Amino acid sequence: MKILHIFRAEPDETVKDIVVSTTNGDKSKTVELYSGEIDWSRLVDDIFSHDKVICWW
Amino acid sequence: MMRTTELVQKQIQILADIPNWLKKSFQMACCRHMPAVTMSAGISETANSKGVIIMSKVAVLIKNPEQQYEGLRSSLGMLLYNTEVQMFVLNDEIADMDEAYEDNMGFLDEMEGERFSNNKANVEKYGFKYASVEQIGELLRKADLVIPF
Repeated sequence: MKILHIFRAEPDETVKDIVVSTTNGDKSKTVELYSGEIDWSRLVDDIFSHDKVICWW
Repeated sequence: MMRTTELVQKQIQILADIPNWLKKSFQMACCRHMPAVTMSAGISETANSKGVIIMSKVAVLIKNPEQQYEGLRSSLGMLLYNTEVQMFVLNDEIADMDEAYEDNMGFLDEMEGERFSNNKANVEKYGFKYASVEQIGELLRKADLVIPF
């Protein structure tokens, strides 16, 4: 299962640990909205190409 | 010119695609207050290939102690839309176990919602099921929607 993790703010240790435990050797991707330039159009493509999207705090 | 039957077929196809678009929109937003809107749009249930209705499983993650009550209320609200709800209170003990929280927690239990915590005080004092971070990760993988509240 491909999971896309979107971080709205820098994740704390708990969130990081949960994210690690949700990825069971799958091809997951993380996107950080709080840092740098965001390729929004690519993000939309990613949302549609992943099986599950989790938008963290 | 497009024939009437073709037009109707096209409209049916567009209508059939709407739930998927709504679901994706929800995943993109994944924010507070969205669940009620999305659930009322009718995607809380999906039919499998045999036409059997399958309830969606929603995981609500609550990290901020100030959001514990609202998170519980939202979890309860989603149960009313015929979804399976698993509520996770992360790290902190329930900050204010007042009558309102206790009542709503009781309603959640009565409606077969599940509540988990990785804080052992919540398990011992308030009857939460214990789930380690690893177990929470596993449960989130099985959920259809994950809402960090």
